[in-house]
Amino acid sequence: MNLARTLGISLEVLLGHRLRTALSSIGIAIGVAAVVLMVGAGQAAEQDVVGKVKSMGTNLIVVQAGRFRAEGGRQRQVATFTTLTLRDRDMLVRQLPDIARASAFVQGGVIARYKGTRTQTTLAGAEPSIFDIRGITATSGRLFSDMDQRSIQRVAVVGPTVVTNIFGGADPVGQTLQINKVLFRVIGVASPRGQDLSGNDQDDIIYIPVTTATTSVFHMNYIQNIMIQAVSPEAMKALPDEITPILRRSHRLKPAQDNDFSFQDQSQLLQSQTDTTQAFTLLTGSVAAVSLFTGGVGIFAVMLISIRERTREIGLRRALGGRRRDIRTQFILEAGALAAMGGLMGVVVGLGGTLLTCHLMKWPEVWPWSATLFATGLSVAMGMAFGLYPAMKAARLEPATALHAAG
Amino acid sequence: MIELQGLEKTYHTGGVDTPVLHDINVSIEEGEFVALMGPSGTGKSTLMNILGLLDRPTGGKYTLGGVDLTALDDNQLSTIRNRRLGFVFQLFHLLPRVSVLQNVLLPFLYTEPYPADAKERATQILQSVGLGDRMNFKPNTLSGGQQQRVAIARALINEPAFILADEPTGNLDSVASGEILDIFDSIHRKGRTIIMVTHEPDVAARAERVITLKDGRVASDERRR
Repeated sequence: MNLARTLGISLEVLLGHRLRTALSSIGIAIGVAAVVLMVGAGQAAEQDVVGKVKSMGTNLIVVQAGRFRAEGGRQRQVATFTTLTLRDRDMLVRQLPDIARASAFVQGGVIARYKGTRTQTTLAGAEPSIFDIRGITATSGRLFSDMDQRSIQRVAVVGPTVVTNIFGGADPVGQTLQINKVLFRVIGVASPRGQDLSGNDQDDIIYIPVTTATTSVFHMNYIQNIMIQAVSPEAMKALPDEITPILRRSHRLKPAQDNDFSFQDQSQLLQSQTDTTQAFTLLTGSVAAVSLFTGGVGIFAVMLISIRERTREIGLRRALGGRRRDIRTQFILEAGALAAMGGLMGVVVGLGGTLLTCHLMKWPEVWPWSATLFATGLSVAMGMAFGLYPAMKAARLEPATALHAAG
Repeated sequence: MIELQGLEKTYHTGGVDTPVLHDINVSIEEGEFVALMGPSGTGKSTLMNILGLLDRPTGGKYTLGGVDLTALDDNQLSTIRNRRLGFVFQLFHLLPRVSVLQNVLLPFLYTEPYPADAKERATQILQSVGLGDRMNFKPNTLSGGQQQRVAIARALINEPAFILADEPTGNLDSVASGEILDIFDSIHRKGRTIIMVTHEPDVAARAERVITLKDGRVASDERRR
C-alpha cells in the first residue's frame, strides 16, 4: 500500500470534516501549546538569571571572611571573622597571575542626608577596580581613583536610585552628602545595573574608597570580601586552591583549624539559581505533557466514532483489495495526522505565547525548539498510540458485514 | 472461468446452525452476462459475497480461472479482489469528500506497484461512461445515475475478470436505471463478464442468462439467447 497516497486521501477526508477534525485536534493543540509555553518561559527565565549573574562580572570569584554554608540554595554566614585584610588582598594579587584584578570590599546599611532629606541606603567601600569588575562607568562626573583611595579621600560615587531618592533627580556632582554623620563630596554618578537575582535594586548604593569606608564610616580594621576577577574561566576554577594556602599562612591557621574564609563563585551561584528554574521548568513542562495525554484520549474517542461512521467505507476498501493491515495502517495514519494538525496549531500558539511572555516579563527572547520538537513528536506518537486500538477494531471488521452496515 | 462445485454455506450463530446455501453447482464462462435472481432470503446476497471473496463457503469448491480460492488466506483473497474483481453496489459506495477521479483510482491504493498510467486509464474510463467533465467534482454533487457511473468506472479500472453488480439500479429512477443498464450492455459487448444480482425481472431481462435461487438452491438456470 502506498503510504503517501493513503495519507493524501485520509487528509482529504479529515479536511472534509473540518469541525470534527478541529475539535479532536484541539486537545493535542492545547497540550503542545502548554508544553512549548511552559518550557519556553522557563528557558527565558533561566537566561534572565544567567544574564543577571553575568552582570555581576565575568569570571568573578569572591573570597568571604568567615564561614558560609549553603542553605536552601542560598549562602548563609555561620561565623564572622575579622582576619581578612587589605594586606591579604595585596599578597594575592602579587602572587597569583590567575588574578586579572581584585577589589577589597566592605558593605553596610547607612543613613544618608542631604538638605533635610534622610534616606537609608547601602554603602559599598571598594577599590577603583570594582568599576571594571562590575562594568560600571560614570554617567556624570568621574569615578574615584587609586589616588583617592591612597589618600583616604571622602569622595562618593552614587547610584542612579540614590540620585532620584536624595537629590530629586538633579545632577549631584559637586554636592556634599552626609553619610552616617561623615561629610562626603559627590564626584560622580554610576551607570545603572538593574536588579540582582533576589530582585534587590543594585543602583541604590553609594561607592566610596574602601580605605575611607573602613576608617571613617565602619571603623573596622578588616575587610569583608575580596572580589576577584580571574583571567579566564579555567583560572577561576583553579583560584580557590591557589588562594587557600596563602590565606591560611597569612592568618596563621594551624593544620587542624578550619578555614576562616570561604569562596563563592559565579558558577555556584549560577548553578543554584538555574537548578531552581530548571526544576520549575521540568515540573510545569511535565504537567503540560499530561494535558497532551488528555488530547490523546480525545483522538481515541473521535477515531472510535469515525470508524463506526465509516464502517461502509472500511467494507468498500476491503472489497477493493485492502488487506486488514492496510486498513489498520490507514487509521493509525489518520490518528497521527489528526495529532500532527493539533500539534502544529499548538506550536504556533505556544511559540507566540512564549514570545509574548518574554516581552511582558522583559526576559530575553527564546525559541524553545527542542521542546517544540519534543511536544510535536510526542503528540504524533500519542495520536498513533491512541489510534492503534480503533484501527485494529476497524481492521477486524468482516468485509461483507461492513459493506452492508447501516448508515 | 468461474466454477462452483457443491458450494455450501451455513452460518453458526449462538450455537445454532442456519444453512443458507446448499450444493450450488454453477459454471460461468468468460464473457457471460448473468443475472442472479430470487426472492429475498434465498441466499442471493450470501452467494454474491462468496463470489466476491468477501465471505467464505463452509463447504464445496470455488475456482476462478482454474485456481481453487477456498484454500487462500485473507491477504491472498484481498489481492485477488484487487486485481481480478470489480464491484458495483446498490448504494454506490463512493467516498463523498474525495473527487470523482480519486474515487475511481481508489483500488490502485492497494495495487503494488502503482500503475504508471493510472490517471490516463481513469480519465479514459470516465470519458467512456460520460463523466469526462466531472472528474474533479465531489460525488455528492452528482445525480444518483452519475454516481453509479463513477462506481462502474471504479469497477473497471483494474480490468477485472468479472464484475459483480449488487442491485445496481435498486436506488435509481427508471431513466437512470436505463442508462446504467445500457452501460452494462456495452461493457458486456466488449467482452467483460458480468454477474448482476437483481430482483426486478425487467432488469434481469437484459442478461443473457438468468440463474434463480430458491431456498438456498439453484431453482432454474436459463440461457435466453
